[in-house]
Amino acid sequence: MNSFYMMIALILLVTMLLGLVRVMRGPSRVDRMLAAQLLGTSSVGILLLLALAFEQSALRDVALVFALLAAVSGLAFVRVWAAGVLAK
Amino acid sequence: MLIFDVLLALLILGLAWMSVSSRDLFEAVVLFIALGLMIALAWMRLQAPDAALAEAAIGAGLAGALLLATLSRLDRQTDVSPRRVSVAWSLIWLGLAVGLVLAFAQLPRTGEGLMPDVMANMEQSGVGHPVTAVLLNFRAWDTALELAVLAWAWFAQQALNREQHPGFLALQGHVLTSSAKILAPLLVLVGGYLLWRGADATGGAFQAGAVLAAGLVLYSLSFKADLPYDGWQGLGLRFLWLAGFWLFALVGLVGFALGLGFMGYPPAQAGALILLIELFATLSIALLLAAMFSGVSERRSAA
Amino acid sequence: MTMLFHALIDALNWVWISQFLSVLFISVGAVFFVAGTVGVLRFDSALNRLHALTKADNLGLGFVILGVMLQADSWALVLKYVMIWGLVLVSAAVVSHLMGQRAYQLEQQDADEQDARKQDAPTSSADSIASTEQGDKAC
Repeated sequence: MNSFYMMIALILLVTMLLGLVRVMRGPSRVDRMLAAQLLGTSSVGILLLLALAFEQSALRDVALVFALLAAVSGLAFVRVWAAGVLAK
Repeated sequence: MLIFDVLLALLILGLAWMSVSSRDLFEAVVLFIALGLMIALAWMRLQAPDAALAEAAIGAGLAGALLLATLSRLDRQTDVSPRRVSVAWSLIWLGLAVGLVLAFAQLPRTGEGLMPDVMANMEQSGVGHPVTAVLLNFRAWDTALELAVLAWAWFAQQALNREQHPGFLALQGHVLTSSAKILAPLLVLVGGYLLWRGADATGGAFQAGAVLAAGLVLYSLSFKADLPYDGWQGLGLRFLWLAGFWLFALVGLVGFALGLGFMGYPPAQAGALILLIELFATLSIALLLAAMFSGVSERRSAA
Repeated sequence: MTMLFHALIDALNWVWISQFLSVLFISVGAVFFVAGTVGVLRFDSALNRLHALTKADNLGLGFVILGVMLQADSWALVLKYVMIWGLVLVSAAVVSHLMGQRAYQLEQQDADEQDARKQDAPTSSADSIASTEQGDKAC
C-alpha cells in the first residue's frame, strides 16, 4: 500500500515538472502565475499521500498551510502587480 | 522513493539556477515561488516538518506577495544588456563549489549529533517538542536575534522607500471581499492552532506569525486598507513590532538576576514563559511582515 | 435469505474493501491531475488553460483526499481532510476567477492593439512600447 502512495506521489511530482514548462514558456504572465498555482495544488496532494505513507501526521498541517496560503501570492499578483501585466 | 528524491533535487537545482539567471524579473519571481514549494517538499523528505511548515508559509505564500509588491514599484523589469561570462569569476565560484563539496565530504558522521543531549534535558525545558525546546529554551538567544533581524529588515526597507504603497488594481464584483471575510478568520484560527500546537508538536511562533501575516496581507489586498498606524492604536502597533524581542530580553535579564544565566528560565515556569514569549513573538512577526507588504501610512490631520 | 446476507457481510473483509476503494479513488485522482496538466500544456489560450487547471486539478485533489480519507483513523482527521479540500476549492475558485478577469482584459488589450496596428501600417517596436505604457496607465 505504501509503495502505491509513493508511486502516485511520484506521478504528481512529474505533473509538477510538466507544469513548470508552462511557467517557463508563458506566454503571458497570467499563464506563468497560474501554472505556479497548479504546483500548489499538486503539492497538497503529495503531502497528504506521503503523510499517510510515512505516518507523519505533521505533514497534514503543512498541507493545510499550503492550502491556506497558496492563494495569497496569486491574489497579490492580481491586485498589486500593476505595471507590465498587460505588457506582454 | 529514490526516484522521487532525485527528481526533487534536480528540480530544486534547476529552478534555483533559472530564477537566478532569468532576464525577466517577473519570471524570476514566479520561479522563486515554485522553488519555495519544492524546498518545502524537500524539508518534508528530510523528516523536518517544522522547517517544511515555515517554508510553506513564508516561501510559498508571503515571499511571493512581498516580491510582487516590490516588483510593482520598480521601473525596469527586464535586463536587456548583453551578458558576458567572466572566466576568472567562473573559476573562483567553481573552486568555492568544489571546496564546499570537499568540506561536506569530510564532515564527521556520528549520526546522533546533539539529539541525545536535547532529549536528556527535555523535562527542564517546559515544552514537549524538541524543536520548540531548542528554539525557545536551549538556544533562545538565536531566536531572539532572529526577531531583531526581522525588525532590522523592516527598518532597512523604511530607509529605502518611505511612504510608498503598492498600487491596487480595480476588480469587478465582490468575490475577493466576500471570500476574504471567510478566509481571514480561518487564517487567524490556523495561526492560533499552530502557535498552541508548537508546545508539543510541529508548529510555533514563526509559522503562526507567517500565517497571521498572510491574513493581514489578505485584508489589505481585499479592502485596500492598512492597519491604523496613527494615534493610540498606531502606538500600540509600533510597540508590538518589537514586543517579542523586548519580552525575550526582559525574561533573559530576569533569569540573569535569578542566577540562572542570561536567557535561563526557572524550570517550573518555563512552559508558561515560553508560551508568553511565543505569543508576543507571533504578533511581532505578523505585524512586521504585514507592514513590509503594505507600507505604513500616517494620516496626519494637520499639515 | 437474511442468513445468506449476513454470511456475505461477515465474509467481506472491510479492510480489504477500504484499501481497494482507496486505490481506486487515488488512481482516479492521479488521472485527473495528469489530464489537468496536459490541458495546461496543450490548450491554446489563457482562459482555456485556466479552465483545465482549476477544474481538473481540484477534482483530482478531491479524489485523492477521498482516497486517503478512507484510511483515516479518527473523525477529527476526516474533518481536517474536508477542511483542506474546502480551502483549496475556495482559494482556487477566487484566484482563478480574478486571474480570469486579468486574462480577459489581456486578450481585449491584444485585440485592440492588433486593430490599431492594422489601421496604421508601419509599426515599429517603439510603437508597441508606447502602447503598452498607455495600457499600464489605463489599468
